[in-house]
Amino acid sequence: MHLDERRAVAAGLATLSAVVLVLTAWQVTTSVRLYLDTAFVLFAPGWAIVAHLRLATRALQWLTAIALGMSGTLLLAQIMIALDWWHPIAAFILVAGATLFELLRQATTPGPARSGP
Amino acid sequence: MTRLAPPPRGFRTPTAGNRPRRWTAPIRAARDHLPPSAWPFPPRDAVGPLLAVLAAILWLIGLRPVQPAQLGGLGLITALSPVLLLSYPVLAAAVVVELVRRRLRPRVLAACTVLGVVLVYGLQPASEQTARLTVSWLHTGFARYLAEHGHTLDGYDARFSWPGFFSLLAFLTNASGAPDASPLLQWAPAVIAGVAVLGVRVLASSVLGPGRAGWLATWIFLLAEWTEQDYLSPQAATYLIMLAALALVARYLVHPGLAAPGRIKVRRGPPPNTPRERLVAQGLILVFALALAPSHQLTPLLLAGLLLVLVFTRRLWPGWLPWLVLVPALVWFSLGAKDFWQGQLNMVVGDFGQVGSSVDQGITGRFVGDTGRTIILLVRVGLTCAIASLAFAGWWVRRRRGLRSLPLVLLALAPLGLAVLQSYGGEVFVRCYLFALPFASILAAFCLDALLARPSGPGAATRVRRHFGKTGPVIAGVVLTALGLATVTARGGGDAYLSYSKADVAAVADAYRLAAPGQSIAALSADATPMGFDKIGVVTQSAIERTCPGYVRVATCVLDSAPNFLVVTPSQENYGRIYYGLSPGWTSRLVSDLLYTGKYRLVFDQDGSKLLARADEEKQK
Repeated sequence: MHLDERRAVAAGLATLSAVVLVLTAWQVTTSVRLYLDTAFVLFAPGWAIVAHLRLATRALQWLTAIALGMSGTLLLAQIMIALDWWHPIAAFILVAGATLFELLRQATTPGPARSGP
Repeated sequence: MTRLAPPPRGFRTPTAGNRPRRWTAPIRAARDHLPPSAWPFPPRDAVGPLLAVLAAILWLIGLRPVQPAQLGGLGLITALSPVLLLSYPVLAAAVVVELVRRRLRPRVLAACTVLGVVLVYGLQPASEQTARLTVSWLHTGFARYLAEHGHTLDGYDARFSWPGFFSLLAFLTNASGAPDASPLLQWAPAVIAGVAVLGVRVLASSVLGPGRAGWLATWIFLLAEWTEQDYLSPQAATYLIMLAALALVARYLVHPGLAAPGRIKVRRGPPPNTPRERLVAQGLILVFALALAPSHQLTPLLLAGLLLVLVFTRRLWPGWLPWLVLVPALVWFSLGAKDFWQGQLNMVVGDFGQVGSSVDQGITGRFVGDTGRTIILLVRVGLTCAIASLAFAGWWVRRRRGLRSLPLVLLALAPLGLAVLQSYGGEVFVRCYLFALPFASILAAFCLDALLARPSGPGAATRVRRHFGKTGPVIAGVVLTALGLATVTARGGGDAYLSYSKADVAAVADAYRLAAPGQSIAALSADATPMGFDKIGVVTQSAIERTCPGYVRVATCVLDSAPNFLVVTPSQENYGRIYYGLSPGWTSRLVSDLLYTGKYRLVFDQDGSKLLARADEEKQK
């Protein structure tokens, strides 16, 4: 994927992360927030990691990002259940904050794209 | 940034053989010397996109709301307009037009694929009032319990022994401030199927290269996934994770490629990529395996089995990768799912080797109901046989080209091993088909690819003989159209009783509102009522059908079991008519009988959906 395209994706997902954080802070309770949070979990955390892995094709990057976002969030939720420490809102803010930070870094960092995974 | 794996042996790139004909050479030369703005847009380049746009317009024009109560045994297909049905052959034509081009246009094909997902998997969400399938509503109930309590409910349901996906849903709904995940239910199949199609696309392009054969495999999968396992469920989520794992394996950890010919007698070294790439792939697969283990009982075992096939055929590097998937699943089964196997060990091992039982429960046992339902079941069987035949033909085409390789065939057959292990409540063959479909689609793609001029994919450069000429694309288009229409028919086949109206959901929600802890809510059928999305473990939720086979003397059955609340919906009316041949109006007569006894009274009545409450409970209050 071209560097500009990667930056655009990172910027778009950073915006999504910022929006879900704001909605969480305002405690908005609509279905739209659930849809946005679902989109965030599906795409943003996985993409923040996958962008570093330099996978072979764009389609593989998106597929891995989705699978990684689902798996990572699922494991986090399952660990909270197993440890009997159920604080999803705090965990969500933590994940969204870390993801936003990383995606902003990707969107603003200059430099040529490294080739190959 | 991208580094593609080397193309498989014998692979013909999409541009191979792209020699200009003599008579067109001067035209091409003239065009090359003109500035791009001066050269008109070739009309034939617009044919594919225009057909796709036409398909979308036809679909939108033909789309209309469907009332589940008015459907019969044939389900949704009878309520669809001819204009809407016409969109499927038009879209298939658009895809074939794009696929026979000398130079493929991935963006146009990707757009057509997204449109195909919407047309096939978005049909029910777009035309029906609310989410289908009782079990999807039940899953939101499980997630709601976890969100409210922060732990599972021991001894309630076997699915709580694999709570990973429900934990994810609970996390999402709790973090979003939503009471439950029901807003996600309706469009979940389209999203999940879309990601699955992406997964098969990545897998197919890893195996077949970026050319036409990979797109054909993607489209065969898209048009033949009739199993309806793509609702909001653990199996759907874990299926996507499994596809991602397989795509990474096929891209980075297999050497030589899955479609590469020949029997490998000695295990070769690592694939021709960097150690970092392989390490990244293994790390990702470990994360996926850890997520699969607590989420679904079947998927990690199947993924491990597929990886074992690759080890036995000496394609996988490293050989210990199956254990990386298997060990977390076994550890979870031993420790995390103790509640399940301690009480039901016989159920786990009792079916082992009972293939006859699996066949009885999974195939012959399903042939009950009226003529319409039988036709739908035959369509499903026909689709399965069609994909099997296409896959076999694809294998035969490769064999005739001298390309004999076992891995793809074994990967497509391996999921049938599930039938030996478990009957899986009569659903094992549906799961076998679902897990085999990605590999069967890849094999079938060889067959359709051979119909078209200039075949692509591994081995296409060898011994190519043209048999079909201009009829090849027509045959391919007809096959894709038939698969698409059959899948639309099969997926909507149960919609008379599996799809619900908003009034049905409101009736059940009213029962939850009125029921006190410890009271019971019953429906006539557990499979035909949107029940279970609330009050898990607080009220008893049951089905009259379990104690009243065939609904013989159903009023007596209800009075004997005496639930505090009884939900009666048009979907249950259809269920009784289709499955047991009951006469129209049987639920209305039941309601009248119950009201006549004075033991029940009507507390909710909207659009045919009714809620009855026990009259004596009210008097006691």
